[in-house]
Amino acid sequence: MTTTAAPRQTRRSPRVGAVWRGVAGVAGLAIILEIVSRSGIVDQKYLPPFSSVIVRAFTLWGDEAFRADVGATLLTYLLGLLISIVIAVPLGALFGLFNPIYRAARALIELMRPIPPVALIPLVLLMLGNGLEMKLVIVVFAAVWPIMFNTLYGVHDVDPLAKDMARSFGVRGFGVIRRIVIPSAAPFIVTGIRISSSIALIVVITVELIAGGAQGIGAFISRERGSYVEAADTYLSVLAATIMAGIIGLAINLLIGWVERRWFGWESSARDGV
Amino acid sequence: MTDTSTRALAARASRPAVRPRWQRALVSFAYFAIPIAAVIGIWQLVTMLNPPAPFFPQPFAIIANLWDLLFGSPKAVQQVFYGEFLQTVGRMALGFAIGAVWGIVIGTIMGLWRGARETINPIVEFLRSIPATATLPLFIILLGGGNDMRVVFIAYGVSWFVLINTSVGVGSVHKTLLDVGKVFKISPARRLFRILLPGAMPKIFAGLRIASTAALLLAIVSEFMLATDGVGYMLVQAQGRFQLLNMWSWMLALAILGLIINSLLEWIEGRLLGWHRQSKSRA
Amino acid sequence: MTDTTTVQPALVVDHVSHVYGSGASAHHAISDLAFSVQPGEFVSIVGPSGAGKTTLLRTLAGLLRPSEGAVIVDGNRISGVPAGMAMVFQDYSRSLLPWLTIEKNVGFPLEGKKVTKAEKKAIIQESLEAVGLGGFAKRYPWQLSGGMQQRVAIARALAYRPTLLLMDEPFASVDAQTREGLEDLVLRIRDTYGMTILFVTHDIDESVYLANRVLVLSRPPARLAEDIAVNLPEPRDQITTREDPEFIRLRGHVARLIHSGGEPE
Repeated sequence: MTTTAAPRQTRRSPRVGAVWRGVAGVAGLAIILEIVSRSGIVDQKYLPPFSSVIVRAFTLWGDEAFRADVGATLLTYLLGLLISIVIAVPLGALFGLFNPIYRAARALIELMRPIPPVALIPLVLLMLGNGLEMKLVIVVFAAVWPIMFNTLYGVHDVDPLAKDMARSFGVRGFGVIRRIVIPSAAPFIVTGIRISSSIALIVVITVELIAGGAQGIGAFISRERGSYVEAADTYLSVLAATIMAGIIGLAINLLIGWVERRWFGWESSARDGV
Repeated sequence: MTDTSTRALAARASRPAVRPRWQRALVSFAYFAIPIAAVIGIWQLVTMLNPPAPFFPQPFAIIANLWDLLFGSPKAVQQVFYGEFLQTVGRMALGFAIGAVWGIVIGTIMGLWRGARETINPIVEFLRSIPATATLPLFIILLGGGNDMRVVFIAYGVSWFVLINTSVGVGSVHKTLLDVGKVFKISPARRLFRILLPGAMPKIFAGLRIASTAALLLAIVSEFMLATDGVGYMLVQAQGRFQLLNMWSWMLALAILGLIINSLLEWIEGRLLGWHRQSKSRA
Repeated sequence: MTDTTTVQPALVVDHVSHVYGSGASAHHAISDLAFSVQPGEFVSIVGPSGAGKTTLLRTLAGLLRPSEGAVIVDGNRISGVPAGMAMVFQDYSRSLLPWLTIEKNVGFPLEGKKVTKAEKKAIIQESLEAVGLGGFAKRYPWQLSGGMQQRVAIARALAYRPTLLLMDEPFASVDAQTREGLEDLVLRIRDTYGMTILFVTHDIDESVYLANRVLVLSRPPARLAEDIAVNLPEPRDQITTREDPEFIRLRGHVARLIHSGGEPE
C-alpha cells in the first residue's frame, strides 16, 4: 500500500474530513434503517422506522411526566457521583501517599471490587426499601472504584523530580502537597470522575429498571413494558426512552471530556483511558 | 547491564536493603490475610454477641450455607451446582466469546482504516453510551425470555469495550513496525496476525478484562428478569422469600466467581503479555 | 568466457520527483533526481535537514510511489517493494518487535518464505554472529542497549540475504562511541557479503568515511547537488582515515555544499 501522506500536514483538513465522514455515517445508517423498516424487509414490529422513533422521542420529551423521570434519574446520578467523589478522593489520596495503609486495605478492596453492584440490589432492597437511599448505596458502591484508583495512581506517581525541585526552592510539607501533588494528580482524578460518571448513570438506570420504583428513566421503561397497551407502541416508547438515555449519557460524557481537555489537557497520559 | 555511574551508586546506597524473598512473601501474605481475618472475625463476633440482626448473618454460617447449597445433599449436588452456577458461567462465557470476537473484528477494521473509523465512530460512541442494561427490555421484546436472548444480550454489551480498545490498540501500532513488514515482503495477512494484532494485544487484553467484568454483570442482570435458572435467579428468589442466609451465600458465590475470572485473566495476561510488562517497568 | 557486456546497474533512479499534497500547500520534497548505482557500491546520501532524504529512501524502498519518474532495480521498474532489498530504520526501538526474542526478530524476514527450519536456524545464527551478538539470541529487545538493538536490526536485514541494503540514518540515535563501532561493522558486512548499500545520513564525516560515492542533496525541492567520488584507501580506519588529507578535503567540500544549501559555490 503506497501512501502519499505528507510528513507535516496542516491539522485542519483531517478534522473537517472526519466530521463529514461521521455525519455521512450517521445519515447513511439512518437512511438504511428507515428504508429497511418501511419497505418491510424487517418486520416493523422488530424495527420501527427511524423517523417514528425520532418522533416518539420528541413526544416523550414533551411529556412532563417523562421529563420528571429524567430529572429524577439525573438527580440520583448527580448525588451518587458527588458522594462517590467525597469518599473516593480522600481514600485514594490516603492510599497513594501511604503505601502500608494501601496494602492493608488491598485485600478487602480486591474482594469487594469483583462483586457486581447489581448483585447487591436484592439485599439492599430488603434493607432499605425502594427509595433514594437504596439507589445511592448501589451507585456509590459501583462508582467509587475508578475515582479511588485514579486518585491513588495520580498521587502516587507524582514525578519525584518535581517534588525535589519544589523542596529545593524552599517549599515545605503541605506546600508541596498543595502546589505539586494536587495539581499533578488532578487530571487523573478528573479522568476517574469521567469514568465513574458513565458507570454511575448506567447503574442508576439499571437499578431503576430492576427495582422498579416511582421515578426515573429505568422505572419508565419498566412501567412501559408492564403495560400491555399495544405491543408495537410499547416497543416504540421503550426504544425511544432507551435512546434518550444514551443521548443523555453521551452528552454528559462529552461535557466532562471537554472540561478534562480544556483544563487538564496538559497531562496527556491519564490511565484507564476507556 | 550494570550502570556504574556515580549517580546509580548513590541511589543504590540510599535505598534500604532488600529483605530476603521468603520474608517479603510472608509480609505480603500477612497484609492480605490479616485484614480479611479481622473483618470476618469482628463481623462474626458482633453477630454472635448481639441479638441476631436479620440482614447480616454470621460469616461462617454464610460459608457453610453456600457449601450446602452447592455441594450439600447428594441429590441436590447435580441440580444446584450444574443447574445454577454453571448456567451463569456458561452464558457468560459464550456471550463473552461472541462479543469479544465481534469487537476485535470491527475494532481491527476501525483501527486499520481511518476512513472507516471516522465514519463509524459517531455511531459507536452513541450506541456505546446507551447503558447496556437498559437495552435488556428491548432484547426481551425482540427475542423473548430464553437463553439465546441472554447470550446475545451479553455479547452486545461486551462487544463495545473490546471494540474500542481494539481500535485504539491497532491504531497504536507504530508505523515503522508496519513498514518493517512491508519491506521484508511479509504478506498482508501475515502482517495482520504477526505484527498488528500482537502489537495491539496489550490494549485488546485490557478491553477483554473490562469486558469480562461486564459479562458477569450482564449475566446477572439478565437473570434478574424473566429467568428460570442461574445465580442471579437464585438471588432474586431468595430475596422474594426473605431468605437472607441464601442471599448472602449467593452473593458470596458471585464474589468468588468474579475473583476467579479476574485471577484467570491476570494469569493469562502474565503469560501472554509478559514482554509488555517487563519492558514497561524498565522504561 | 568473460561476458563483455557492461554490468547492469543495481539501481537506477530515473528522474524521480515527489510532491506531497497539492495546490497551495503542496510540498515539493524531491525534484528530478537521477543517478545510478553499480553493484557492490557504497553510496552515502547527505543533505540539509528536512531535505527529503527520507522521502527518497522510502521511494527507493517501494514504500512510496513517486509523483514522477521511476526507480529501476536490477533492470526492472519497481511497483511496491522490490525483492532482494532490505532496510534498516532509524528508530530501532520501534522497528524491532518487542514481543519476540532477538533470534525470532532476526528470523522474522523469513516468515512465509520457503526456508526449512534448519536453514532458518543457521541463517539466524550466522547473522547474529556477523554483528557480534552470537550469545544474545534468547534475550528480548528491551534488555539490550540502543547500539545493540540497531545491530539486531542489521542482523535481521542480513538474514534476508538482500542484494541491496538501504539504511535510513541508522546511527543518528546512537551515542558517538557506539556509532564508530557500528560504522566499521557495516563496512565489514559489505566486505563479507558484497551487497550494494545506500546509506542516508546527516553526519557529513560519516558519509565520507563509509562511502565510495557521496550524493549531496540540495535544500527542498531536493536536487542532486553533486555526485562526489571518494577515493580513500581501504580498509577504512576510524583514526588514520579521518586524518587523511584527502578525507579532510572531501568532508570540507561536502560541508560547504550543505551549508550553502546545496547550491554550487
